[in-house]
Amino acid sequence: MRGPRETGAPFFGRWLRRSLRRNLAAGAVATASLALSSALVFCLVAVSGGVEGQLGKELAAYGANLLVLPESAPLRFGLGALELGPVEEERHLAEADALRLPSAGIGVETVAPALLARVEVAGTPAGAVGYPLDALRRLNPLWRVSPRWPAGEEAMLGASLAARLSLAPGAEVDVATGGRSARVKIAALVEPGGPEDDDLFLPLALLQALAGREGRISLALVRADLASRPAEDAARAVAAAVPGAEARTLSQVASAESALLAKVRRLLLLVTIALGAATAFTVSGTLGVLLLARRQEIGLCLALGGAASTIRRLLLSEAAASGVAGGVAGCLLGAAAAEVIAASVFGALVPLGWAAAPLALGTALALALGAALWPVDRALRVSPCDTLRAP
Amino acid sequence: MVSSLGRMILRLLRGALRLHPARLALVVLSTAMGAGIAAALGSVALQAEARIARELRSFGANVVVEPVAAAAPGGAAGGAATLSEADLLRVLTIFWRHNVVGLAPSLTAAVTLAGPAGSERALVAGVWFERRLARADGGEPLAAGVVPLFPFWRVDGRWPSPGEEGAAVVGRAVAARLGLARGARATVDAGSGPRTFEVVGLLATGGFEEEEVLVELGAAQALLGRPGQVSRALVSAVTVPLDGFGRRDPGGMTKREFEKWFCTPYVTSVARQVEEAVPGSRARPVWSLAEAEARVLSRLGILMAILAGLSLAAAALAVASTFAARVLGRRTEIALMRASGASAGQVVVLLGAEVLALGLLGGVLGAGLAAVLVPALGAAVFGAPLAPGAALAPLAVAGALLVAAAGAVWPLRRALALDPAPELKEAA
Repeated sequence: MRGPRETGAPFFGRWLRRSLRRNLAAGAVATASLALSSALVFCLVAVSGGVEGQLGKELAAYGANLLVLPESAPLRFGLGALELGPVEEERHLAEADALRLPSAGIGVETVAPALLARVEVAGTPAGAVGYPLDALRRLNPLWRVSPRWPAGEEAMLGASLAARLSLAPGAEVDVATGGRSARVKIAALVEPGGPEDDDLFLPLALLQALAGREGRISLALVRADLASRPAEDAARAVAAAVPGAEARTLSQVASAESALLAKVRRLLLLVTIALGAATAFTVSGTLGVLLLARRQEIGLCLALGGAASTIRRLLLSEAAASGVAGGVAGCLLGAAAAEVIAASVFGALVPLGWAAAPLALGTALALALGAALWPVDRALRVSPCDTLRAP
Repeated sequence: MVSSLGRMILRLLRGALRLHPARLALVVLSTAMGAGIAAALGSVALQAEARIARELRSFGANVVVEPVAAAAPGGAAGGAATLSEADLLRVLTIFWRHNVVGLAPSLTAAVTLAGPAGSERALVAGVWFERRLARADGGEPLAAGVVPLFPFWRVDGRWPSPGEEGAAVVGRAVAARLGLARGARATVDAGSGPRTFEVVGLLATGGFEEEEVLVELGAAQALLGRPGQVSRALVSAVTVPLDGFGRRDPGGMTKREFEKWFCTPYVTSVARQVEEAVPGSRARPVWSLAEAEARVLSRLGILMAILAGLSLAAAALAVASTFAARVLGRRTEIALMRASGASAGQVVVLLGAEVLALGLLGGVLGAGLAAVLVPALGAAVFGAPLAPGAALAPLAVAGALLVAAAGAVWPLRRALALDPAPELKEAA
C-alpha cells in the first residue's frame, strides 16, 4: 500500500501530461470555448468602461449643463433683456473666478463666461451678450454658424434679430450702450434655436469695454462631467468655487444626459450578464459533454486501483489547466476585440482597466472547474463494472 | 429503405435518450440558452436605437415654429405677427405625423408681475400644460404640451389641471424675488387692468424659464387680448440621424432626390412639412440638437450592431463547440457502426439526424426563452417592455439548427476518416 503513495507525485504528473496530450482535440475544444467566454467578458467589461467616457464626450455637444449666476440675479436673454429692460440693481461676478473653474478639480471641462447688456444696434435696441467666442464654440461645437465663426473683434447675430434688422453677414454696424459706441463687423448669423436667436453675440472683452464693466460677467455657462457625479453635486461644487455665485443645473441637458448614460450603462451591464450567462451555460455544457464521454477511462482507472481522490485531482487539474490557458488566450483576444470595437464606434481607443483581466481569468477558471465538478463526481460514483461494460 | 433508415434513426435516438439522458439534456439546454439569449440580445440591440432616438427627444424640441412675419421689423417684439392656435393642429396631418411626439405652442409677452414682496417686469407665457390630442387616423393620442415635452422640468407643487385658467406656475427665480410661494396670489398686469392668478407650483429648470410665469394658453390669450393666437410653437419629432444627404439643400435636389428626402424623417424634411402644414409659419430645425442627436445615435447604432453581432457569434461558437464535443465523444460508436458495415453516408445520416433533432429542440426552447427575455430586458433597460418581433422564433430555430450542424461537420469528418480498428481497440 505504500508503493503507489510514494511514487504518487511523479506518477500524477506523468499521467496528467499524457492525458492532456492524448485528449488534445477534446482539450482544444474545451480551451477554445473557455477562451471565447473569457474574451467576451474581458471585451464587454473593457468596452462598457470606456463607452461611458466616450459617450459623455459625445453628449458634450449638447452644450452647457450648468449655469453660474450671481446669487438671486435675474436671467435675461434675448427678447427678455430687450423687453424687460435692465435690472435696477445689477449684480456681477468676477471673470477671473469663473476662469479658474476648470483647474479647480471639480470636473469642470469648459467655461464660457458671459456679459449681458442692452445695446443699440444701428439705432435699434437689442439684447447683446459677450462671450469669449472660442470658448462658446468649444461649448457648442454644433451650433450652426454661417458662414464661419467670428475671429478677433468680429461679432455674430442671432437669426431672428438679423431678420428683424435686415442685416446679412459682412455688414458693419454701430453698437452703442451707455454713451460709448463701437463699429463691429457681423461675421456670421447663428441659430441656437432658443431665446439667444434674438441676441447680438460680441467678443466678451469688447462688450466689457463698451459697457464699462471690465473683468465683470453676468453669468457663465459651464460644462461639467456628469458621468462621475450627480448634477446637483457638481452644481454645489461649482457654486462653492465662485464667490457670490449660485449654480443651476440646466435640467434639460443635465438630467437627459444622466438618464441616457444610466440607460446605456444598464444596457451594457445586462448584455454583459446575459451574454456571460449564455456562454457560461453553453461552455459548461460543452465541458460536461466532453467529461461524460470519458467515463470509460475513469472506470478503467478506478478498476486498476486508482484512488477516487487522485482521479478527481487529475481531472480537475486538467480542467484548471485548460481554464488558465483559455483565460489567458481570452484576455488577449478580448483586449484586441475591445480596442477594435472602441475604434469603430468612437474612433478612439479605450483604456483597458485593471478590472477586466482578473475578471476574465476568474471567469474561465471558475467555469472550467464548475463545469467539471458535477460530471467528475457522477463518473466516480458509478461502479466501474457498469461503465466498462460494452455499450 | 427510407422507412427502415427512419426507424433506425428513431431507435438510435431512443437508445441515446435511455442510455445518456444527462448528456442529451446538457446539449439541448446549452443550445437553448445560447440560441435564446443571443436571439433576445440581438433583438434588443436592434430595437435599442429606436428607443434611444425617442429617449434623446427629452433633450428638447427639435423644430421651432414661428410666424413668418416675426422677421418683420418690430414683429416679435411688438407682438403683431402670430400663428393661429387652430392651425397648429395641422401638424398632426403631415406625412411623418406619427413621428411627432411633442407639440407645445406658447404666447409670450412682457407684463408687470406683482407679489407680496414687490413687483417687476416679467415674461408671461401662455402654454398648454398637458393635452391629449387624438390623431385623425387613430393610434396613440399625442401627449402635447410642456409637461410631456420637458420631462426634466421640476415643479414644486403641481401643474395646473386642464382648463384651470386661474392657476399659474411661477419660475423659481422670479418667485423668490417677489416672495411668491405656493398658494400665494400673483397679480399680472398686461396694460388692460390687473388679473390675479393662484400660484400652484414653482418651476425649476435651471434656464430662463425660471424667470417666467406660465399660465394656460387660453388665460394668456384673454389677458393679452389676443384670442386664438400663439407666438411660437415647439415640435418634437423622432427623426433619423442627419447624414450628408439630409443636410443638403432641398432646393438643389432632383425630383427623385427630393422625394427620397421628403419621405425620410430627417429633421429638415419634418420641419419643411410642418412649415407647409401651418399657414404663415417658418419652421426650422434646432440645429445643435439635431446634430448632437445624429452623432450620439450613429455611435450608439454602431455599438448596438456590434453587440448584436458579438452575441450571435458567441452563441454560435458555443453551440457549435457543444455539438463538436458531442460528436467527438462518440468516436467509438462511429467506429463500431463503420466496422459493422455502415457506409459513411449512413453514419452521416444517422448522426446528422440526431444533431438536427437536438438542434431543433434546443432552438425551439431558445425561441421560447427569447420571447420571455426580450420584454424583460426592455423593461429593465428602458422602463417599457419591447416587442419580441415575429421573426424571432424562426430565426432562433434556424440559427440553432445551422450552428449545430456546422459544429458537427468537422468532428464527424474526422471520425469517419479514422480507421475503425484502432479506435475500437483503444476503447475496449
